[in-house]
This record gives sequence, C-alpha cells and structure tokens, in this order.
Amino acid sequence: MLRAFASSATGMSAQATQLDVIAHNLAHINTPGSKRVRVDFQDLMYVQAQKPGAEVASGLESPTGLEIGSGVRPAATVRVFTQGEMENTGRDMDVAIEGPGFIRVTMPDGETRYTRDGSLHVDSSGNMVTSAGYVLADGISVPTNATGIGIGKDGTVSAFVPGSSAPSSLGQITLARFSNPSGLAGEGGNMLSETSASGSPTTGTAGTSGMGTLQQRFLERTNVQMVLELVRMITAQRAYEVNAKAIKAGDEMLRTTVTLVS
Amino acid sequence: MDGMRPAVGASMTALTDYYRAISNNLANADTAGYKRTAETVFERAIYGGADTPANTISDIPAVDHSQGSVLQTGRPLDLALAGEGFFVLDTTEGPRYTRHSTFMVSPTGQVVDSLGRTLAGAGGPISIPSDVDISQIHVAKDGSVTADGKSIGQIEIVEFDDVSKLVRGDATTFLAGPGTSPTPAEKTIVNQGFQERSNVSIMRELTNLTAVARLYEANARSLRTHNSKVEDLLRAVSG
Repeated sequence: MLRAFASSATGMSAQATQLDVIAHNLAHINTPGSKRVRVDFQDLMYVQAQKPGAEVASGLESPTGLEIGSGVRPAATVRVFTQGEMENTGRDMDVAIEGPGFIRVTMPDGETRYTRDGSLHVDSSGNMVTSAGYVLADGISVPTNATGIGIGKDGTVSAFVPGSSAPSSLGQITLARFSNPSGLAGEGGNMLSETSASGSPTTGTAGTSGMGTLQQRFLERTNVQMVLELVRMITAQRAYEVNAKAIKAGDEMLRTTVTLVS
Repeated sequence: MDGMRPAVGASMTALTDYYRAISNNLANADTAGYKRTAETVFERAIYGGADTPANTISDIPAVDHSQGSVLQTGRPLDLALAGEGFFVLDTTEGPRYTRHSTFMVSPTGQVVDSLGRTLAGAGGPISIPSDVDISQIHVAKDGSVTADGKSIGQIEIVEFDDVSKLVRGDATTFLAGPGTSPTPAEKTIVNQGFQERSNVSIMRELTNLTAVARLYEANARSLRTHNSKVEDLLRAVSG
C-alpha cells in the first residue's frame, strides 16, 4: 500500500512540474524568439511480484507474470524548435531568423551565447548589441552619422554614410547551428548556451548549409500556442487531482486494515 | 470456518496489488506512449481460483496494448505510431521495443530518445548529416527518413504475433519474452509531428479504484465478523 502512495506521489509531483513548465511558457507569450518547453515523462522501474511462467495455482502457469510499476519521472525538458510567427514591426534594427540558426552574442566574460531574439540596438560606442546590451559576436560597428541601416537575407549589414551615394558594408551577421538544439541550456535573458548534449556549433552565412535567412524589420514571436498550453494545464490539474484521490482511497483501505485488530 | 481466513487474506493481497497497479496507471496518465496495466489478471485472482478452467487462464494480458490517442505538436521528431508496431531502441542490454514518441538528435547526429537510447534503422542507427537541420527532416508514413529529397535512412518498426508475451522494461519499453520474437510490421504507419498519449483512461481507473476500495472494505468486514464469531464460540466452550 505504502509503495502505491509513493507512485501516486510521483504522479502528483510530475503534474506539478508540468504546471511549472506551462506557467513558464505562458509567461513568455510576448518574448521574441522564445521557444516552448515540454516535459518528457517516463515510467519508473517495475517490481516483479510474479515472474512470467510462475505457478499461479496447481498446474496453471502465469503467462506473463505480474509487474507493478513505481510511478513516473520527468526524464527531460524538451525545448521545441518550431518556427514562431513573424511579426512585421517596421523597425530597421529588428531582424527575425526564418529557419534554423542562432545569432551569436559575446558575454562580458568572453563566453558565447546563442539567441533567436533579433531585437537589436546600437550602443553609445556604436557597437551592434542585443536589447540587454551584449555585443554581437560578429562585432559590427555602426558609425554615428550612418542612416538607413540595411540587413540583407544573408546577414550583410550596410548603411548610408553622408558623403557617398552608395551604401557601405559594415560587416555580416553570421548564424550558428547545432545538431541538437534541444540540448542547449537556458541561461536567462532569452539566451542559450552550448552543452555536451547540444554538440558544437557550426557557424556559417545565413542561407547556406542548412542555416535560415534573416528578415529585416520583422521579429519572430514565440512558438507557444496558448490553446495547447491551456489544454495541457487542464489535463495536469485533473491528473494531479486523480492521483491525490488514489492516495485517499488507499488511505481508507489502510485505515480499514488497521481497525481490523481493534 | 477456518478455511475462510486464508481465502480472504489472499483476496485482500490481490486487491492491494490491484490498487498499486491502478496507482501506477494514474501516475502515468500523462506519459507519452505508456501502456496501462490491465485489470484482467487481478479479476482472475480475486474472483477466479483453482476451479477456473485451465484454457481460460492461458491468455490473460497483463498489459493493455490498445492505441493511445494522438496529439498534434508539429515537432519534426515527434513520431506517433498508429497500428500494432513498435520502434526498436538499441541499448547495451539488447533491443528494447517502445511506443514512446519523443525523439531528438544526439550531439553525434544520431536519432535518439530522451534518455539517449539510439533508434534502430535498417542497418544501424539513423544518422542525420551535419548540414541538415531537424526542421528539414521528413519522415514518411512507412518510416523512411528523407531531407530535401535525399534519403537518410529507414526506421525499423516491428510487431509481435503475441503481445501478451512482452515483458516490461525500463522507462516505457518492452522486452521480448520467451515465446515471441519481432517481425517487420506490415500495417503500422508513422505520423510525423504527433505524440501518442498514454492509453490510461482516468474514468476507468477511478471506477476500478472505487470497486477495489469497496471490495477491500467488504473483505475486511467479513474477516471481522468471522473473528467475532470465533471469539463467541471460544467463550461458549470455555464457559
């Protein structure tokens, strides 16, 4: 009986984890480039109460035995990388990645992080930075008197500088790709970092070797679908409740057993 | 009169096992590809007994392998099977069979499940070339994997002539028990972008749970009555 309580407890704990993840997804409905997270559950080890082939009654063999599981565990949180909706913002420094790939950002300590958030700005020194102020790894500098910034599909950044009629190239935004983007670790600030599970990144020009292209004046919205999350939330609530009911029923059975003696 | 106690005791033990199986089913109501423990074994244990004809006890499945419902997620490596087949996972302890539909790519480019076990394809694991992104992978209904028209591999899908001989393994998998072996599946189709949900029906489990609780109580009550009758008898004899 008590083992069953532990199983039901794992069920409740799993649904609580599910709700945490759903809350996280819904909180990021307005975060550009954010990807929805999903919990992957696996069932827990089985105890053989009766081996297959064991005698059930004289002369009768149990064909499959009796295996009773120990509940459920969250095996992984999977970040789902489907394309989010593209929103036309009309802002020159907004760029959305259409297809696979990440923009590389250099942290103050020298580490590289990866993001899909293309809401870019120019800081006081003229560097192209993310909305949090971190410099792009491609190190693009924008002159103070530049007007009309253009970002091409292949990532080439150009601007008009007074004194020349043709636009001058300021550099190129390259993209990075991973064989297992679901293995990237969330670092906060809408950025992800490389892990041994994600594999090493391949960097390249947008539009080549499997990389997506850059769309200027667009932002990629989140790929969280509110309806899906709400359905999962209702399921989680009911599953939590039903596991609690199972514990209650078991508790009553236990009470019946205990009062047998008194 | 004494013969009643062992029978009731056995019944209550069977009911406890049944309750544990229901709890496990409920805990896994949300586990993708989970197959519930069926109630038939317990019903035999509780209501049957040695006088049950031998030929009716030979094929009681302990696991209910019915199809779980599918949920559309749009994720390229969510592969839900429709039919009686299983995916094959290559592990260090031999092949394991599963319906758990969530897959991903390992750092070395092979298709694996969330615990890192390799998905078997015809002739080895399915390797995704480094210049192909997950979003470009297309899995056809017969399990063939292509990207931009180029063939990458073929997922191995097997079926068993007697699923009741499958033994539960670790983490939503099955092993082939003695008496059955896998054969290539014929009518199972692969649905890309879908997850197969657990086949646990909460309504059914709750109904069974109520029955178990009441039966347990009934057994305990008859035991208590039996007990008090024995006490009365002893008192009458001893004066």
